[in-house]
Amino acid sequence: MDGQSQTGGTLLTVEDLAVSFSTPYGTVRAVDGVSLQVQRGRALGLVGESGSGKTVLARSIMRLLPRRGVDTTGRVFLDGIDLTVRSPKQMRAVWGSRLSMVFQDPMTSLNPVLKIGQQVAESLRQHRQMSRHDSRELAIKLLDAVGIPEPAQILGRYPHSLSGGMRQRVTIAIALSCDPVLLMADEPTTALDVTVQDQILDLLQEQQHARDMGMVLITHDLGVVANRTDDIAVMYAGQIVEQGPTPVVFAHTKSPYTSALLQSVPRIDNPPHSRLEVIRGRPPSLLNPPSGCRFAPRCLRAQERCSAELPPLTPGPEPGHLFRCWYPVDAPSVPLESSTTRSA
Amino acid sequence: MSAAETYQQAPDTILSVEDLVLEFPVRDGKRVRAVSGVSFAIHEGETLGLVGESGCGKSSLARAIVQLYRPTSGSVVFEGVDLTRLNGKELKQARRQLQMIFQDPISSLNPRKRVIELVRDPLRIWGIGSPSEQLDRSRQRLGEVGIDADESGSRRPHQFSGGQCQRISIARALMLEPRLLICDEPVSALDVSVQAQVLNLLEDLKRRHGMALLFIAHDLAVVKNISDRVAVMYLGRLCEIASSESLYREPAHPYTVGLLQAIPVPDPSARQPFEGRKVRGELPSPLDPPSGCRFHTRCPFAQPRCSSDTPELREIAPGHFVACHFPLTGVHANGAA
Amino acid sequence: MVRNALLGMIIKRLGRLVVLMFLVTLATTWMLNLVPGSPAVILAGPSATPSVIAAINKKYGFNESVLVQYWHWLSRVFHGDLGRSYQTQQTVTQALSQRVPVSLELTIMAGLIALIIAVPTALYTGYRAGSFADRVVDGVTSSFISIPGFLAGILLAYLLAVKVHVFPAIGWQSLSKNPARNFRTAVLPVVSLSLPLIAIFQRVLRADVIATLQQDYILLARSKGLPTWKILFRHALKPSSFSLLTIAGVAIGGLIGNAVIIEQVYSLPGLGSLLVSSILSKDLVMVQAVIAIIALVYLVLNLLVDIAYTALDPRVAAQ
Ligand SMILES: Nc1ncnc2c1ncn2[C@@H]1O[C@H](COP(=O)(O)OP(=O)(O)OP(=O)(O)O)[C@@H](O)[C@H]1O
Ligand SMILES: Nc1ncnc2c1ncn2[C@@H]1O[C@H](COP(=O)(O)OP(=O)(O)OP(=O)(O)O)[C@@H](O)[C@H]1O
Ligand code: SF4
Ligand SMILES: [Mg+2]
Ligand SMILES: [Mg+2]
Repeated sequence: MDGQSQTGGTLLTVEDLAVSFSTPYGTVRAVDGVSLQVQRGRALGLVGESGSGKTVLARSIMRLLPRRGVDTTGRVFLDGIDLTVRSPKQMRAVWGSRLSMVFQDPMTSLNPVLKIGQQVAESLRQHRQMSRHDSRELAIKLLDAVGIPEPAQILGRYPHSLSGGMRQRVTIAIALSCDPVLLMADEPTTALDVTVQDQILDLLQEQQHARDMGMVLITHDLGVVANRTDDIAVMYAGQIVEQGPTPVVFAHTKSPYTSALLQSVPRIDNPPHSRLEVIRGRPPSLLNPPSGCRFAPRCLRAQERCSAELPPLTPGPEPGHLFRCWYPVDAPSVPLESSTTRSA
Repeated sequence: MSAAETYQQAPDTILSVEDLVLEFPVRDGKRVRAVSGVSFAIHEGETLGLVGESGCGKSSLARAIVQLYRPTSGSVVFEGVDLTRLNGKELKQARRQLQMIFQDPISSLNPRKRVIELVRDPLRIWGIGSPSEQLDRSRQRLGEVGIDADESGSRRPHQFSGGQCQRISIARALMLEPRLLICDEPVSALDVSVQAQVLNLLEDLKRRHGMALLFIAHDLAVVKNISDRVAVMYLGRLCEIASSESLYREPAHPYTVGLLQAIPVPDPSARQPFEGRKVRGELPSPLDPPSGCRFHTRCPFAQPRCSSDTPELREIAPGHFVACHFPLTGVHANGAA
Repeated sequence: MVRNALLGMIIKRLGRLVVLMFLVTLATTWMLNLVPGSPAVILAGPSATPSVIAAINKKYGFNESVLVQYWHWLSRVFHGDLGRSYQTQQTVTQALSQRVPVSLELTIMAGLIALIIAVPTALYTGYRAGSFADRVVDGVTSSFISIPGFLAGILLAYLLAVKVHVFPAIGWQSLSKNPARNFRTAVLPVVSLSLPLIAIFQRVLRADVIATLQQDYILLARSKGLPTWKILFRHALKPSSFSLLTIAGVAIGGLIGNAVIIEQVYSLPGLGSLLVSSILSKDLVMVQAVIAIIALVYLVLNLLVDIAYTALDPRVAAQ
């Protein structure tokens, strides 16, 4: 591999990444100037509502977006190597072996017509040039490590005969097979039941720690990242609106969006019939995003300046905390004033 | 059998479901019991929440109640009338007071109709009021759910977002002023911020119209927030029914405890639940459900008896019912409590 | 378990095949009786006396009821006797043993060649949909479909046989007698037969490949770092080939009896021309046998397609 340079503990650096799609209706700017870092052995939670650009960001970092009709700018460094200048062939050496991915829906992310064994062993044979026998042995070990009972027997089965949780375990085993340095998990538990979600999140966390691997955990559920990530980044309409160490972002929330999102989640310890804080309206179209702060049309703190000027990412008092807002939320407990249920 | 036959019901009970069974034929002449002997009641103006994992039979139960699927056995007494004994015409009459909304807001609305027409349809079908009155009421109802009829009444469903479509379905279901509204996962397809809007809206409308609600969801936190009482369902059976507060404070069924433990809490300082209470494995196939207590294959507290005897739903505290041989009474099961 | 299910399926389908063969042959007997004109008259010639015709009718049982005729035919078949052509007096078995190998060879070769060319082309054009190569292939295949196979045949024969003498224009050498010469005589007809098949197969498969390539599991395969060819052949081909299989079963089966025109163009002794000439001369025994053979080939192909489905899709096998 060329230049195994290491920038301290930094594993992944994304600089000013922007992705736009040309569509019949115009240009969709799905990711707009995102910069972030993932440290070796740490987990970053990427949170945002549907359509905020999480998947596009993850795929553009991995360079897995289709080439046609997609315009990507910015730089992505993995272990100091600039992925954006690599040829597809060079990327193939990175995919699976150093950088791998787990998808949202385990029902569709395994090939229905290939045996589990073949799908797990494939990467091993590709990247490690392992023999059939060795790759089989290792596949059994991997399946065992992700908590699949009777792994040797599972190798000969097809995906349809496994439950959703088991399939997700298989895709995790595939992703881990060549000891990647960075795992991108795109809503790995959204399609699963809560009890199974909990098991899978435990598994991911345990593997991430055991392998000292970097992980990007994408989710729309703030609860999922609260206890299982070191840092979080909150996305809104293609931009990061707040990022920083997880405890800091939760305890000293600055962005009105993050704050509103936190307060609109029904909590199990709320008394019944407690009113939820709502965010009025709905996320903007990325075809024609609002000028200034993208959250301004829905924001209760917005003033004139908000719709005129895009606030920059501003450092908070705690180290590593950045937020994008002109009139940030001051204290964690300041409630947003109750809004109507009418849509804007 | 006569439709007029009435049933003894507690005075404030609007719906009582007795030993309801719903089977579906599947291949090789086998049958899958999606609902297996479920009994519960809903009182006037009350919200009963129903939670359970995917495939446990929540939708099947809801559809069996409104007779979209005809139950295999058991009774569904709504306002003193057993719906399972009604013929098509009588059912139609009874359903006026019993409306249902579905999970997928966009596909449950006819894509070719304008929104104002969709909402007005129930009135037209029942011939209630003059056309102009019908339109007035439709506009008013749309306004109540936060949709401006003048601005967007002539648009079609696909021009609205998921959350707005769900509002439209709600407006439509409310046109006939039903006494019971069954909501089958009305917010599961929505984003958190939009979900909160719809939940608050349902609360407001319920209070304003004094109707009862059967609210189905797979998210216990959502259900607890909106419900007076909560029923927990597992593989076609009820495990536990209790008031929202006692279900959360003193969960007695190990499955309920497991569900509570698994809810991701958006607060890094929340205490970690203790390992021993976690639910293992996944939902077994409904085609071949475990013997005895259906939960015994995943239960951290299972004893030999659990795999042989089926536990009946019994009252362990006033209004708190549980179907478990070894209910966790007196244990503060919730780590965060 | 899967293997047992497959075996069970094959046995069941074989049973069905036998029943269908009875039905097809019975239906043929019945329909041949409906055809206007008496076979006895044709056999005896225009000047035959009624007594001669009566004798012929009696000899061949033309006056019997359909069921009795069928019964006679069937019992003879079970003794290994397919009958004797009324027309040429050659035994049917003999005729078939000359004709069937020719048709089978043409059919199998044309089918194989079509698949060998269509599958990789379709994978590539599906992968590079909308590219220059894709548009070129699209143009070529639409011409293959719109030009009737026999025209292409005549054209090829003219160019390669008459003009350049690379291949013989007409005639046939059997495989067993002289494989090299057999190959040379087979090339032109096989190519003409396969052109429309190539076009159909390529189009059907390309459309399915495009859909398959949108699937998450393809993205997962890419994210494993597999080379493109492995993604196409290992991950995309199998799940995309269901429509192709169905179409290929029907289209290849069709060649066995429908290659009449190609057989005419190249003067080949195949089943198609035998069928046409026997029908025209009301050579009932021969027609019966040829149709039975064609039906058998169809049914066997269908069985193979079904077995292939099971092999391709584990979900089918599980049912
Ligand atoms: N191929 C594409 N062409 C055009 N627009 C696209 C394409 N892919 C994504 N988009 C748009 O980019 C935006 C971001 O999409 P993305 O899938 O990244 O959202 P997400 O945050 O992952 O949402 P979800 O939670 O629903 O998965 C969306 O508005 C989407 O419509
Ligand atoms: N029409 C049907 N025919 C056959 N089986 C069915 C049918 N509908 C539901 N089932 C089966 O009944 C069981 C319960 O299904 P149901 O849809 O009621 O579950 P659910 O709790 O609503 O799940 P989800 O959360 O996924 O909506 C499942 O095993 C399902 O496969
Ligand atoms: S910048 Fe203005 S609009 Fe944007 S989040 Fe802050 S207060 Fe709200
Ligand atoms: Mg996504
Ligand atoms: Mg359901």
